[in-house]
Amino acid sequence: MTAERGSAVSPTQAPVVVSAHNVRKLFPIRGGVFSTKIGDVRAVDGVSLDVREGETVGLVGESGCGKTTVGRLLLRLIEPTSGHTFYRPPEATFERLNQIYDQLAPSLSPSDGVASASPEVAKLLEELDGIADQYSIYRQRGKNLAKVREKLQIVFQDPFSSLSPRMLIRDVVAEPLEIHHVGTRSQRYQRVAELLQEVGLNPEHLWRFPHEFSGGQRQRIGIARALALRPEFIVLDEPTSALDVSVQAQILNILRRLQQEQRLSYLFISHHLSVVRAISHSVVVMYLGKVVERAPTDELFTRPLHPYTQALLSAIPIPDPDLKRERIILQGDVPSPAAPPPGCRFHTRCPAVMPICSNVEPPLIQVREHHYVACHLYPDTRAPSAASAAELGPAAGALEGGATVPPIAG
Amino acid sequence: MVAEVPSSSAATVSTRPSGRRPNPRIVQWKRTWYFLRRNTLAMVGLGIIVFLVFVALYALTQPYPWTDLNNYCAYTPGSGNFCAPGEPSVCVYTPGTAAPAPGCYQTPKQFPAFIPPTLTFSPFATGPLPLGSFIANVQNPGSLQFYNLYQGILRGADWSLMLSVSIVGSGAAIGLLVGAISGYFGGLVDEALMRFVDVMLSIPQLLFVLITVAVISQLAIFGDSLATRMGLLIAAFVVVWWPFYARIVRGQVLVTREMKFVEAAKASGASAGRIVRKHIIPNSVYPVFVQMSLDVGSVPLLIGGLIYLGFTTIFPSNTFPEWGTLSALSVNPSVLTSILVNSELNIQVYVPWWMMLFPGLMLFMFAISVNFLSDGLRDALDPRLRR
Amino acid sequence: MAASIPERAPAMGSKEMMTGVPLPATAPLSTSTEPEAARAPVVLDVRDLKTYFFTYDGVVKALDGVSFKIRKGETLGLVGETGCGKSVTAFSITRLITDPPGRVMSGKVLFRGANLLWNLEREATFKPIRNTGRVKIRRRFRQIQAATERMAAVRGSGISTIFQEPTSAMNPIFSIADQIGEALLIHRGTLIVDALLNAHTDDPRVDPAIDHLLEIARHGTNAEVRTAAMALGDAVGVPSFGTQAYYILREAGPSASECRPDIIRAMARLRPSGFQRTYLKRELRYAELRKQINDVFLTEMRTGTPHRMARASVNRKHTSMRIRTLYLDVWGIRGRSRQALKDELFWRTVGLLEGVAIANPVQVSRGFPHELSGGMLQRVMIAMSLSSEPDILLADEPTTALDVTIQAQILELMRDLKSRVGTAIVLITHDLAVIAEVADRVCVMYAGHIVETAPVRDLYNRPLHPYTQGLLASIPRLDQPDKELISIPGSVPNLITPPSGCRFHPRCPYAMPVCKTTHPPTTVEGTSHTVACYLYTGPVAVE
Repeated sequence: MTAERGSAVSPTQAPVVVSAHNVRKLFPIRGGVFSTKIGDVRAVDGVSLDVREGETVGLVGESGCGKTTVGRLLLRLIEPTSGHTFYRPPEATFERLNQIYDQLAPSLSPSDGVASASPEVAKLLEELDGIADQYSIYRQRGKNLAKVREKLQIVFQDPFSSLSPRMLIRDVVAEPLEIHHVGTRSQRYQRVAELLQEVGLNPEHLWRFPHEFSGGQRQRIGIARALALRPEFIVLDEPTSALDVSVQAQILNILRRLQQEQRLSYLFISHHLSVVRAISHSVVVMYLGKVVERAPTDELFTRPLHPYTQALLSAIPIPDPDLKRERIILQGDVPSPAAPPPGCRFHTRCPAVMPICSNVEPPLIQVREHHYVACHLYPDTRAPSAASAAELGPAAGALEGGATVPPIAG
Repeated sequence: MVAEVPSSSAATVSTRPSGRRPNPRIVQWKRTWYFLRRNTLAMVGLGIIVFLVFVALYALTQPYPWTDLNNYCAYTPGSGNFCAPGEPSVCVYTPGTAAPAPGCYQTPKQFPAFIPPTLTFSPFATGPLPLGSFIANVQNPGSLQFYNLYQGILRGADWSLMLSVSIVGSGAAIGLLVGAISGYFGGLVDEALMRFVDVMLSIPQLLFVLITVAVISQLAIFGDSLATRMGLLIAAFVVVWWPFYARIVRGQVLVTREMKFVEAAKASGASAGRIVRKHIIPNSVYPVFVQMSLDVGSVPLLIGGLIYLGFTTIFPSNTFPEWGTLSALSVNPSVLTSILVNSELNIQVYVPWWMMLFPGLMLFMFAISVNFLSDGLRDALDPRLRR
Repeated sequence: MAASIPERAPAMGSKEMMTGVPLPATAPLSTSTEPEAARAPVVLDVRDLKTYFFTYDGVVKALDGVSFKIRKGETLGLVGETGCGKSVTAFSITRLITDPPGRVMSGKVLFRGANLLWNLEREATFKPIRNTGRVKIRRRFRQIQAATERMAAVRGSGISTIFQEPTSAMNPIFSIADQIGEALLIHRGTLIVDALLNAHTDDPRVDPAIDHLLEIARHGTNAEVRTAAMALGDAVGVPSFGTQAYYILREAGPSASECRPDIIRAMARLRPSGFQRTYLKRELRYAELRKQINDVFLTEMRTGTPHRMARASVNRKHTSMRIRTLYLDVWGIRGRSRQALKDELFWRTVGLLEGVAIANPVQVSRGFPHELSGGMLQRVMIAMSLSSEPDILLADEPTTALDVTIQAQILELMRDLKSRVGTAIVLITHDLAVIAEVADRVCVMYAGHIVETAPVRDLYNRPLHPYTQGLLASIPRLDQPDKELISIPGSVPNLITPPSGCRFHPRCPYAMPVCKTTHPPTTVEGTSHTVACYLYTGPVAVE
């Protein structure tokens, strides 16, 4: 399994399927007499990740960190406040994108898009815009959007509520096919039978209602439904959290097999790190809407750099009573995403907190080969670009995919 | 252009249920029926409703109009026998003269306060419930028009059933649609529709129906027959009724639209219309059934009240033997007139008590049986209460 | 399916197999070589518990003969997947099974010498209906109600429970202090009211204690202030006053040493007025009557016969008390007579919340359940359950609904409480990793039976039952990333028509013909490691 999982997989030459850059989603909080907006819940605050063909990226974090929202943003099930998600950009374009973002990064404060109005930056923004028009899923419409949607699918966490209780299984799995007008009726049902076989269910089950199945079987039906349109990328939103351990193993094995057979890519969202380790090639750790660490799986689990990752890893119970571990027990509760702490969002619970942490937010920087961390313990050694704070101006909004973000004064 | 479904090399699997496998929807209904059977009250309700349906069907076979007293023989009190068909059998005599037989009455004032029932039942519509049921003849106030209560109740079955089902059914359907759209789309659509619903709910129902029917029938757009007025009545009621359903459906839709399978359908690319049709509505009809069952009982009552209040304006020339109407008519209209005109409570209601009792009893049975049945159905359908 | 009994190959999923290295002979297996008598006494003895659920689809045989023992101070883990019956076991013990459709059919639960399931035969009769699989049950609701009433003697003070969803387990309209206070009053009312009534605020030791406290507050650490405050509480005779004094000082902050008047004012609550004393005496009397009737209940459960006269006399005393003192309620609404008790309960609650490591117990006590997060609420639940110092704590999936880091906090707390308080804990969960952290002994359940019981180390190092082995093999482990996840083939059986004989045989890789016919007996392997499997029963005649 090691070779297949590929600990050295991250820099594969496989083409990029989905690439998210600086995606942000703010939910307004309404209050007061006329339900005016009094604040924002910063559910996802500048998240970037790439998924390559045949790869599984694990997205971990606790409840409230925004990982579920990220999954839906990548599929455009909800509209982002700003940011881009690119579908299948060619390798050259992808490289160029990385370059653009690298060059823009210093003028981009991590908290909100503030960029300078200098001509180089404006040119970069224009170029970015052009690429976005072509490849960003948030800019697609109509038929193109439908085509893209076929390739991006989702499997939900709760196998009990993700299947409509009034529909036969046959209709549930055939629905995507029906929506996209694929084949005749009998051809569709034929395909449904094939899909059920692929996930290990008896085609006889076509004729039953969801409540007649166990949780594991329902989850398999959900997977069959996601596979109906032959997608390339599947977001798995905690697919095994509601299932028993042995069933979980079955589902994970099925997912792995399907990935190998069909060159699927997964975004595996979970808070069970041991499960994530078993199935992912690389892992992204989130806290309160931000990415705090990103690395290939083995690297993350053997050399976690961010204190939150370390605490998370040490918090996980291990089924071995003899193993004595150094446990880092975090104090306090997770702060509310409506009022995140200033500076580094983790500083209120961080065992290694320093004075700078409550003032300045650390950027996500590369510390080792393919290993990125956002923490002041690992200082930013990049040379600051020419665009200094003084030049920051109101052209900020243009950076973020057309949505205007009001510039922060000063 | 239908795209080709790429078929795999696997052998064709039968997509029809094999012979021995029962249709799953039938299996579901069988199970519901099992639970229903064990609920005594629901079975009583079901029994009564079946009985009423038979009564309604029977009523359709009655050949003569309900006010025809020549062919529907009446039992004359004191005579001890039935009259023969063809014989006029109404006990009428000129005011001022002596009553020809004991138990033979003419005007309300002459009725004693309590009239013992002097009636027998007989099948085949030849023996009546009582004779002597009268209504004011609006074409000729002062003279009395008689009807046969038994026939009235028979016909009332199909009138009441037809009216309640059509009004409640249409109201529920419209309310369902509006509520689903409002709840699913939210935002401005929701706000606008809900304010509209609020406005509709603040209109006094009976008054609105009364005025609508009276005014529009005066305009004589559609002609002026009983059928037209009936249609107008139903339409006016439906207009007043659907907002209740819209509200409750909207509440349920707000819950349903957060369910994961809706999100899954969206992820598959379903259009909003499809989602509303196939996912939201089937899963949100539950409270509608509950409300419908309650309303079905109250529609005939409302119509009765309506008739009582505004009979002369809505139905100047004909009456129709709906139960609510019969109950309304059984109360002497001169009571109301004397209250309104004299403003003294000159209530001497000399009415054979059975005239009020039987229509009311039928209404009561109807409403409560529907109620029992719907309670039982709801318990049987509720997955949480499954045993 | 293997047809022969394998040699004792390394068990699937065990450490031996994973690392490929045979365990040395000195592998840490628990060695309890002490004789039976020297071990801690048994607090709960469950024998042959059978619980069935009578549903439309048939009779669900949820528990079919479950037996285990819990000793004082021990943490027993009850592990199994969904549908194995672990929650049902816990609820059967405390009679929390919803009576239609469920029914505890038979069994004995011995606790404090009493059989908690003492009246089962008289509560319901069963008559199978001919030609169908169905059974007609006639329940005698009065008997059932009576039996459930008796459980009040045990629930809370003997066996208390923590449930899975902390956010919905508390009443949202009462403050935390009110809810915990209520529990405290019911179970510990006598002690509390006694202490309050006998508080001696004019004891000569009080003044010097206050002086000492203020002295320490000037430049002592928190811990020292704490100790001095508790000493003050002892001097007065009411320990919650010590807590109160401590928080008064903490709030005062730097000007702590000038708090003398505050403390004197606070002490006023310990001098109840005449009317308040009457009120308190009545509460004391109620508490005593409660204790009396609980004793009667316990005796009934012990002897198995109803004691009507004793119960009636207690009830009579209660009623007459109520009638005689009705005026106190009426007056009390306008007066403040209840305030002394409320304050006392409040500060005791604060003390309890400190015991479960809540950082700001005063605010939490005043607040409401919806203001707290899941982790905090679970701690509050633990505090409430432990407030009555029960012999046994039943924890039904206490950490399943919580995040990983919060779960770590709660498990840490439970380990701490284990060593401090010494309650026996029954930890019900499906997470084998959590068990490894906290439990002393483990029972593995499958489809209504206990298949293996062992001290925790033995279970993980040397799992005997094939189901346990399968479970361990299918868990992904953080420290073994390349482990292949082996899933147990098949799925959990339908408990309406469970497989014959050993319920695991359809999925067992070592199934033998005898497994299909009879349920395997429980055999003991080594000290205190029992397993129900034919692999370990020696040669069996195959029929």
